[in-house]
Amino acid sequence: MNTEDALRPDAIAARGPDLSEELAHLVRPDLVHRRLYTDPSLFDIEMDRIFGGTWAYLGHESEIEKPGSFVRKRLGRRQVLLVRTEAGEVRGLLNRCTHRGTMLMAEDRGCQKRFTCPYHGWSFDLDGRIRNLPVADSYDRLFERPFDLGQLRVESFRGFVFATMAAEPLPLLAWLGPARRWLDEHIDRHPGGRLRVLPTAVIQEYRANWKMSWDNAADGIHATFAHRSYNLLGKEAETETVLARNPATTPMISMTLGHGHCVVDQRPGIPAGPWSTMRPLPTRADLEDALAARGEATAVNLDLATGNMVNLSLFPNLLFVGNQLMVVEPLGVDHTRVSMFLVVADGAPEEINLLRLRVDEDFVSFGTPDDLEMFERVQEGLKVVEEEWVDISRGDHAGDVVGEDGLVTGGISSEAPIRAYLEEWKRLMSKPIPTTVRRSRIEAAKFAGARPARAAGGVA
Amino acid sequence: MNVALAATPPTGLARVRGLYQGLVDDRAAVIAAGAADAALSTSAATFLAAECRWLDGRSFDRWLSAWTDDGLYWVPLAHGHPAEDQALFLDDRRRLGERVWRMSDASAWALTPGADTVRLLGTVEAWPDGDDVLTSSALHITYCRGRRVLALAARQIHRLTRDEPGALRIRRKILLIPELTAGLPQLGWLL
Repeated sequence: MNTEDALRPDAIAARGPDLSEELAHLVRPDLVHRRLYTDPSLFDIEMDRIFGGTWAYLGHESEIEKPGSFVRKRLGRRQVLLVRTEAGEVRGLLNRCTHRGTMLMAEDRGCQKRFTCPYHGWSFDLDGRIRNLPVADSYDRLFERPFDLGQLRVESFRGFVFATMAAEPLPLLAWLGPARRWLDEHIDRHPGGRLRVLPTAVIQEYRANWKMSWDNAADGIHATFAHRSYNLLGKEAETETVLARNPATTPMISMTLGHGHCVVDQRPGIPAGPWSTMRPLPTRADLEDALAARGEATAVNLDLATGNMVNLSLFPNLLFVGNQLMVVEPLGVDHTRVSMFLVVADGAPEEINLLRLRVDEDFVSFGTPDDLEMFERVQEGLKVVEEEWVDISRGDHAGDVVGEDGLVTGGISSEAPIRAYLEEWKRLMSKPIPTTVRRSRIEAAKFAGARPARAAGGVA
Repeated sequence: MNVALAATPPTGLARVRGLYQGLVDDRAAVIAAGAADAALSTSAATFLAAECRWLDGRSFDRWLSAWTDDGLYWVPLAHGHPAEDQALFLDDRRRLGERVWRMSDASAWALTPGADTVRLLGTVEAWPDGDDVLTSSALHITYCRGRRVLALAARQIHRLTRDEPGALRIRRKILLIPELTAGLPQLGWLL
């Protein structure tokens, strides 16, 4: 099969210019150029090579438990329906009719027997196969193009669904690499390994480049300063707010995990456990009393009410913060949306999940706004054309420990995680990445050889 | 109208469930209610206008003092339930105090310098509910900070009660903001 024929519906195409030389200049071991955050032409290429050219988080299987259930997601500029088929499989369907490109589903979630286009009535099964095409006789060469919905390659790791347009992506486990152990740990702290992602996210937008979220994710030192206000609230309540540490002496660590992933492990800095860091919260006293009355106010249970203080970040779009999954969606070179999905533990006592509801809105109220303010202030500063370079050398040869595998462990002021994700960014962005649209069937097309009889193919 | 908060159990899980159900019941009762009580609506409107004026004038302590000690303020994300869905926030009196404290904290970077807001209050409808008053009103907020302007619309539902001298106090407040599900800039300033 000649998939280089660009007219084929299963064409494999690698788009855009070779940027190897340019990016070798812009991303250096100790410096990064401002254009990575401000250049719309680089942003356009990111939408192909970073969001599509490699694995990215799409959603969680608990969002689509029943056959027919779907949630509407985005991967870069593509709208995607994450669907559970009749057979129980998970699919990522492009949310566009194969006729004119009309967006099929406008709802954020729902349950359907099939997807029907409102424009000309074409309908598609849950696995993307075309089911009905009104006035099919009006096509002389109906089967010369397969009209099944476009699909992404999706793969699930213990309920976490990742997707890509890459024609030949790395095996998912190879892409996760050393991050897998941390993801396992995150899942395993939930009784029975059972996580449920609540459907409605807190959605906030900021006027800055999406990589600000990434620069911030493993930056442990900002918490002392940017979150001073949050820390003062903790001090007022006489709790050991985890962020109010001395960044020069805290034993917390950051680690790079390959493919741009990283983790910050704050536990060494909080020997009394995560729950010890929480201030009084709405309903906290009643719910702790209820647990205590049943002898269930144990450290294990209460620690479950808050995050595990291990901030895992899977490049390019998934950050674990507290009990929330923070999904980073780039909207424009200086416009980003973060969707914060709360995870509950169905195997935990009811009080723990009721507490989770109140715990995470605390940081969203008193912490996140100050992060977003910093991102916007950085974006403002990066407008100065003459100040071309941003230093990212912190920690290098100054505390960082490089392992035999090349992965770096450092203190929380280390910028090794920034250097590591930018290295992955450069790798992905330098050359065109072959991508392709998957479909259920290609066979009934001129591309497979002989033209089939008109009655074949199951189109009514 | 008879939604009645009095049935809330005194402690534990049942109390939390009861508080949450009370919020949902208030929302449902107001949406389904018939024509409002005209005289009560007039006095409630005067109070809600004062609330807008205190918030726009940054008299946050004055605003906080208008709450009862058992006050609850809920900003749901969509048509959610407080026991089942995330909210933007669901505050008790203590956390409202923290929100007010941050308004003047010089290290609350997202709130510094402070914003100017104007709250435009729509028609206020009020109904008696036992000793309390339930109200519904539309609210338009224009928020201006630096050179950025944000406009928000909301429906607000208040459960008001009278204190000893007979003045109205806020016991419950629900703010329904459709734009929340569309994505907004940070709302750390919202009271």
